[in-house]
Amino acid sequence: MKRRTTPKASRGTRGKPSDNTSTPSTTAPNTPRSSVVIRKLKTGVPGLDEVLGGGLPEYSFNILAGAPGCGKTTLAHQIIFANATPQKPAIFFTVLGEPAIKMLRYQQQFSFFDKAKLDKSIRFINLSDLVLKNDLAAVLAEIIKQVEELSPGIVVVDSFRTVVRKAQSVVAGSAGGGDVELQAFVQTLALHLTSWQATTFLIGEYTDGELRDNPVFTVADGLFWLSQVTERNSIVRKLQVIKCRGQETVPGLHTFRITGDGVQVFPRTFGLTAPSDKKRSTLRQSTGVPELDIMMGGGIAAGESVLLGGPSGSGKSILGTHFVAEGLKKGEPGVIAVFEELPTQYVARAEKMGIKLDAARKNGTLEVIYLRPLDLSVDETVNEIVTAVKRVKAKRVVIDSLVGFELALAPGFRTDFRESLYRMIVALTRLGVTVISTVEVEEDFTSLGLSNYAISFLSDTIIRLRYVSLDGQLRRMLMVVKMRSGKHSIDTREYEITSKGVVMGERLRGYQALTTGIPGPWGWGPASDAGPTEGASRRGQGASRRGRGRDLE
Amino acid sequence: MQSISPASRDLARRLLARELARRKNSGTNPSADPVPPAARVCDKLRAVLVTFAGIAGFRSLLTRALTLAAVGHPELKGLRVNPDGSLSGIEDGESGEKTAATPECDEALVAQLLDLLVTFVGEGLTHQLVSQAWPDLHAGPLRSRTQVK
Repeated sequence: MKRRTTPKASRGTRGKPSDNTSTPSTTAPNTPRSSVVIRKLKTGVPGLDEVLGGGLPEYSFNILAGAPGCGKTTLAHQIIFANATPQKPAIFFTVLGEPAIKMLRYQQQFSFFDKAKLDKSIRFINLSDLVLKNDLAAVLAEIIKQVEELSPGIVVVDSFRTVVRKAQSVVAGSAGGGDVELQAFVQTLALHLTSWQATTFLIGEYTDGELRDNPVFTVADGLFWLSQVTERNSIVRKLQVIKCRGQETVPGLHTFRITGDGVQVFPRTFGLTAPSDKKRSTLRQSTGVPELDIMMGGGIAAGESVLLGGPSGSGKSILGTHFVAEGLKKGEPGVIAVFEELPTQYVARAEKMGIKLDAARKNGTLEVIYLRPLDLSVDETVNEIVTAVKRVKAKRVVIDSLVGFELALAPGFRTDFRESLYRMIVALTRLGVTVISTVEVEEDFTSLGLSNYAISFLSDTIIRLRYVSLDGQLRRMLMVVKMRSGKHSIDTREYEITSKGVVMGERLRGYQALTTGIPGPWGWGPASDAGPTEGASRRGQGASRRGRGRDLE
Repeated sequence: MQSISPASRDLARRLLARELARRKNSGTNPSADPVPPAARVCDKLRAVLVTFAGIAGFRSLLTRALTLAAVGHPELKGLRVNPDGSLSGIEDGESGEKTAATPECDEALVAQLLDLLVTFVGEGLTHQLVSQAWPDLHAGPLRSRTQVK
């Protein structure tokens, strides 16, 4: 076997991905306190390296466990195709699991499956005949023989559970304790594979209840648990790194999806574990509606999150479109995430208002992404948005709308939607982008709700749109409720939606209880006891509207 | 009978011719080399396929290929697939012994086996497997009967 050196010690790399090239490494000489640096293999699985704290520890002995159909074999294949080379090949032992021909038939549908790597870099070896003969010693001997011959960098045994069952049935008939002998078998295999400098995976079908007291899990350095969580009619795939020795892994359940490109993991950290180098800008970004900018002291503070709440048809989407279009005019790329209509419909609707988005889409400065697959997870959604933001170097993001977003989620994620929104907004603003989230608010004409999610505290700025019944007409008004970045107007302004989009009108004067949606003139009804602070007269009483946009005093 | 794709038939013909030529070039008397070309071709594929598909996997493929080929060539019905995946009962026309299987039978059997491989693992992998068994052979494009349809 070729002699290999171990990774050279380097400081300050903990938790960071290492490159996948074979760097000679060893413990640093003459530094008694220096510790061995464990090289990390990139898995080739988007998002998984982040969860693993940088990658897979080289020479580790890992178990990929889960029920049938979780994606264990696909995950293992993806890892070997990403790492195997003619110099450091991978061996994939199949035992009594999926027949190899069938496995190859299906696995080659994935884009990562590189036929050119077969034989020279990746070798599939079938051990079923040995297992069927109940010859565990021969199984072990064959694995060791092949490993010695090929000197692989990665070894996978699929499905290892079959070997274990055989081991149990064999040892059950012997005088020795079953568990002890099984542990010895696994330990021997692990020791052999580790000392031959191979990163090893055993793939097994296990259920949650088997996690305890299983000797295989004790021996393993890494334990990756894959599951499919069913809730009502939805199924969500989840991955948990239960154990990964020597690694700063991201705890918790991470959702993943299997597509034509294989497994993609969506870390709960959204791939943003590195410290943010973004500084809060003092820049104000125009909303695209000049009068609204004035109300906001010059516009939205760059890098903040804005909640745009209002009932259906109040113009939330249009305001969001104005904001992005204005950014595009100023050379600031944007991303619009839509859940309730297709991007083409969204763009066509904007065009009707004279807001041209098509050119920006074509030149790559705007992405309108439609996120409505079945059983979406929050992490997946954010991943899509974050990826688009990075791709177009966006400065402005519109999420239209949070209600559509919630409906697209698998039921299990709706229960902690508020927490999820918090994580999403933090992740996006960490990137330095300004985020406008639209939210539909149920109008009840007795109070002014800001959103149905009690998420107002997540937003730096809140703009509220609402219908108001005035003079026998259902009109629209807008107010800036909150701005963390500075002073803002406290006016309630009327606005209209025209063929040019949102057109601001005048401040609504002379009415009380405007925010309830059913105002009356000052001095009218019970509210008059409190007394007006402005427009304190009965001038508005009975005032008929003589023209839109005019002062209503 | 399921038709065999022309490409598989062509490759089968070439593999058989190659094995026949190898035997002639080695100067071996056909009667001294009792393994006929069809069995040799299947054996070479067996060596490659057993590694990843296991003996059982290869046996099932060869048995299916034999069943399919025997529909058009009943003389193949006398052949058996042994537990180790090798063929028995195949006769060698060149050796002068009784001739149960004609060259067309051999061709049909090997072509069916290749066609099955293309159906299950695709053209690319079948090429690779054939190349492992015959490293100096250039196999042309292969399409299984299902793909031809």
